[in-house]
Amino acid sequence: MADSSQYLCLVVEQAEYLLPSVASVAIEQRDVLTADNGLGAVVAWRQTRQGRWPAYGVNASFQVSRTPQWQRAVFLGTGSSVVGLVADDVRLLGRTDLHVVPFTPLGTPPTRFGHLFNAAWVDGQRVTLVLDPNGLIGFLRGLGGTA
Amino acid sequence: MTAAADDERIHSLEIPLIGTSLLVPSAAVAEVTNPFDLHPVPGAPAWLLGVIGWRAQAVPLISFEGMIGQAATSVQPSSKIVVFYPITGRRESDFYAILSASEPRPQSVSAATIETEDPTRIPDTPLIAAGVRIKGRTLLIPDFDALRAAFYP
Repeated sequence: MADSSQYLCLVVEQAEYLLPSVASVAIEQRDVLTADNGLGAVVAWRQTRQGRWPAYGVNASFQVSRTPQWQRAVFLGTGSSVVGLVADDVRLLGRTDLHVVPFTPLGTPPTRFGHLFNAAWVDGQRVTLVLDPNGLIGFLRGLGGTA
Repeated sequence: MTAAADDERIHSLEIPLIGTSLLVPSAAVAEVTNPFDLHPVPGAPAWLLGVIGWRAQAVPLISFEGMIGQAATSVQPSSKIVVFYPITGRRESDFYAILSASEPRPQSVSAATIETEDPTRIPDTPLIAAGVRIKGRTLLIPDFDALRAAFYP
């Protein structure tokens, strides 16, 4: 279960997902990233002193998508394994606003790193899923395109 | 079998599915409710239809038909959501729900009122523990241990 004090709300094609803010190593505006004009899952790169970090594009169903309207990228991971996810918008939410509960998606995880989600914000009948940083990193790296 | 055993009744719930029905102990069911906001879960199998917010918990909603190899169902106007208590050994918050094709029906069953169904007439899947016949209709009894293994591999 996510246990951070704050969450980032990522808007991806009108769907909202939360990410523990402590998992993020950087949040960048689109205009400071280098666009990747290929056909793969990487839509942009962040240059660093040690190299470059890929930012992946997915749609609301987490299928590869080169949606044009993204404005920001959230990067997570450590060392040379930092990866990013682009989003239409990224907002910081305080924990006091949220009722976050454990949630385990059923069935086989999409990657060997586990499920994409490990908790959920439940507000009445509305549910916003909380991304598991390790599951997300594994999922994004599995999309390839960084060679 | 003794007369006392014959008279031992189990309060159960018949859950209509598309093309068949499940029979489950009423004690396993927390609530039957009308469908409401269903939120998709990316990366999940097709039989996981989504998640609902119920009693401050995030409850996954499954298509049992999809789990046994048939086409996964979707919410229809006649659908109901049957919320189950967590399977033995799981967290007390691990409720799950099955999409019912229509309103579930209570059944009070005993050895005298049911017959064992011919195994060749029930789906060949470990998710079904047995099939029974009640008043000429076939009802499938889910194997909750197998469900747990499928839910939490």
